[in-house]
This record gives sequence, structure tokens and C-alpha cells, in this order.
Amino acid sequence: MKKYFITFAAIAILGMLVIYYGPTAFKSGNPAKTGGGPLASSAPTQSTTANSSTTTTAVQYKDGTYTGSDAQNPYGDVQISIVINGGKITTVNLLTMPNAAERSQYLSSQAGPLLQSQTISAQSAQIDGVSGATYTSQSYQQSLQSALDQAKAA
Amino acid sequence: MRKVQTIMGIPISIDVPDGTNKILSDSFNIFTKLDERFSTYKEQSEVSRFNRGIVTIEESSEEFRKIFNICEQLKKETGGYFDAQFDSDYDPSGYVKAYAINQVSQFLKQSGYETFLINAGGDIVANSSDANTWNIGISNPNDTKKILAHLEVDAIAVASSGNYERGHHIINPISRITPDYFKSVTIFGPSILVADVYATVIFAMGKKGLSVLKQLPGYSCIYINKNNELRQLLSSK
Repeated sequence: MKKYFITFAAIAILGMLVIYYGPTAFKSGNPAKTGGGPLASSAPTQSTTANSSTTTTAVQYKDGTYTGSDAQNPYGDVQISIVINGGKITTVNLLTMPNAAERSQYLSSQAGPLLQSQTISAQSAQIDGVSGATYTSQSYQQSLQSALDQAKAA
Repeated sequence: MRKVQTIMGIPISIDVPDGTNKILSDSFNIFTKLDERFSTYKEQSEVSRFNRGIVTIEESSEEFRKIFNICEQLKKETGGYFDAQFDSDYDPSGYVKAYAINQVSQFLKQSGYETFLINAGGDIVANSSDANTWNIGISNPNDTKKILAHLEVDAIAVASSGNYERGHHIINPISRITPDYFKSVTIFGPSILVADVYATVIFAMGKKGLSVLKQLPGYSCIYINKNNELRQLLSSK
């Protein structure tokens, strides 16, 4: 009986998620519960362009695309900066190095009105941790994270 | 206080500014204990004994069954794109890493520490009650000495997926080929368990994986694809 109820409730919730995708309360730490079976429930093979993404309510942000011209080392001097506090994205900036002025103009014209171009300051380069594809112990030795850990280790 | 230890074969960095030696070693012990149970490299781990048929699912520990059931559920939920079954062996180590970070995060909060940063091989949980406490860089897959984005946050979970660090270790479990649309995918939002699983799933699915993000309110994505397009898909929640 209980099992049927859970199944029914799960289907009901799934249906609601599909019909009304909005600012749903979302707090579970367990992915088995959270996604509500996103792949199973989404319309099959309906491809979505990246531009029509998750922006639905509250603060609206344009999703930006930036294409670099230098295939050798794109984005070495262009970065996205996002400020998030209390679970809300409050600021999105495009940061460029001073010597990348020409390219930054091109990039920020692509970026939509909410992105502002800014020069990277020494302060904004102070990062506390680096997220990336899982590195091995060997690649860690050469990594930015390793340098940060050495600088900050007590 | 920040310390680094290599556990589960990955460098783990834990930063608790007001922390003691004890709170840090207790935190690392959570990783060590989980590694002892779930490692596929340790002969006596429960996972190894399960794979050799010495322990059945019924005889396994509660925690083993819990993770096993979550992995089964995730496999269904992601249409097979998340799969802890590797060849004929059960290997939940990807999920266990995120699970361990989550456990340490809960442990630190319960111990009265609000401000901390845990980074396990590139998966991060940051916490603080003060705005702009942490500045998290997202690695540039074209040059890992550089970052392509950074997040100034009070609290967030961030996970990235890519094949640039450890060779082509992520394959599309459906087509059995190495996915090549993305160079890297980063997902950030409230829970590392969701961020980690879906960074891998979206990476493995390729471009069509981006539609999955719509079903994950509160989660955002930054990616760089094979054409070197850097893109952000930000949650408005």
C-alpha cells in the first residue's frame, strides 16, 4: 500500500516538474530524489538550444557565448566572473586582461547587456580552489590547485 | 587551516580557517573510511569482496546497500548514462567521491564550523555564512594553468567533467564511444551529489545533454566545447 502511494506520489511530482518547471524548492542532497528522473521524464530526443536555458523567473540573465579567435590559447586572458550569494546569482561579468582589449571588445559585444567588461585586477585573481576534471596525483603536482594549497597550507 | 592528503587516489584539500588539527584529521578520516569500504584497488574492501562474490548484497553493510541502491536509481534516472557497473564489475568510486565530500561537509557543519572549502580532485564544496567568502576558479581545459571562469560565493557545490586530465576515461555507456562534443562541463548548485553526477552525465551525452539541465532547478552550467565556444547557462533560481 505504502509502496503504491510512493509510486503515485513520485509520478505526480514528476508530472508537475515536467509541466511546471519553475522556481521549485530544491533542497535534497540525494540525487536519487532530486532530479525527478530528468532523462526519463524529458521529451525524448528533443534537443534544446543552449540559449533557451534555465532562465525562467526572478533575475533574468542572458546566457552568453564567447568564441575565441586564438585556437592556441583561447580564454587565457578572458574569464567569466559570477557572484553567487544565498543561492542567487547576483553579478555576471566578463573579465579581460589589459592587453586583450581588442578581443575583449569583440567578446563583450557578443555577450549581451548584462555582461560588463572589466579589467582583471590582482584581487580577482586570488582564487581559493580550482574545479576541473579529476586530476591524478601526478597532474596535481603541476596544477594551480597544488600551488594554492602550498601557499595556503598552515 | 588548510591541509592536503591523497586518499582514493586523488589529492584532497580541506580548508577550515578556524579549524583545529583534530577537525581536519577527523575530516580526512571520513574519506579514508569510505575508501576502505568502497575502493576497487583494495583487495579487502567490501566492493572488492562483492565483485569476487565473497559478499552478497544481502550480506553487505547498510552503507554499501545504500550506495548500491542510489547507483541503481541513478542509472534509471539518467537513462543509463550514469552507470556504476564497469565491464562486469561494480565500481561506485565516482559517486563515492561526491558522497564523501558531502559527508565531510555535514560533519563540519555539525561540529560548528560554518566556513570551509573542500576540494577532492576538482570537485568542490564551499560553505560560509558571509557573502563573497570564496573565489572558485574553473580550470581551462586548453591550459590547466589558467582558469576560464570564477565564482565568488558564500556557499556552492561545483563539479567538472572532462577527458583532459586522465585521458579518455569517460565513455558514453550507451554508444560505447568517447564523447567529444565538450572539452569540459562544469555544473554548480546546492548539492555536490547532483553536480557531480550530472557533470559526468551531460559530458557523456554530448550536446543533447544540455537539455537535462532544464530538469535541475538551481543548477547552472559553464562549458567549453570542441569549437572552443565558452558558454554559460545560468539558473535564475
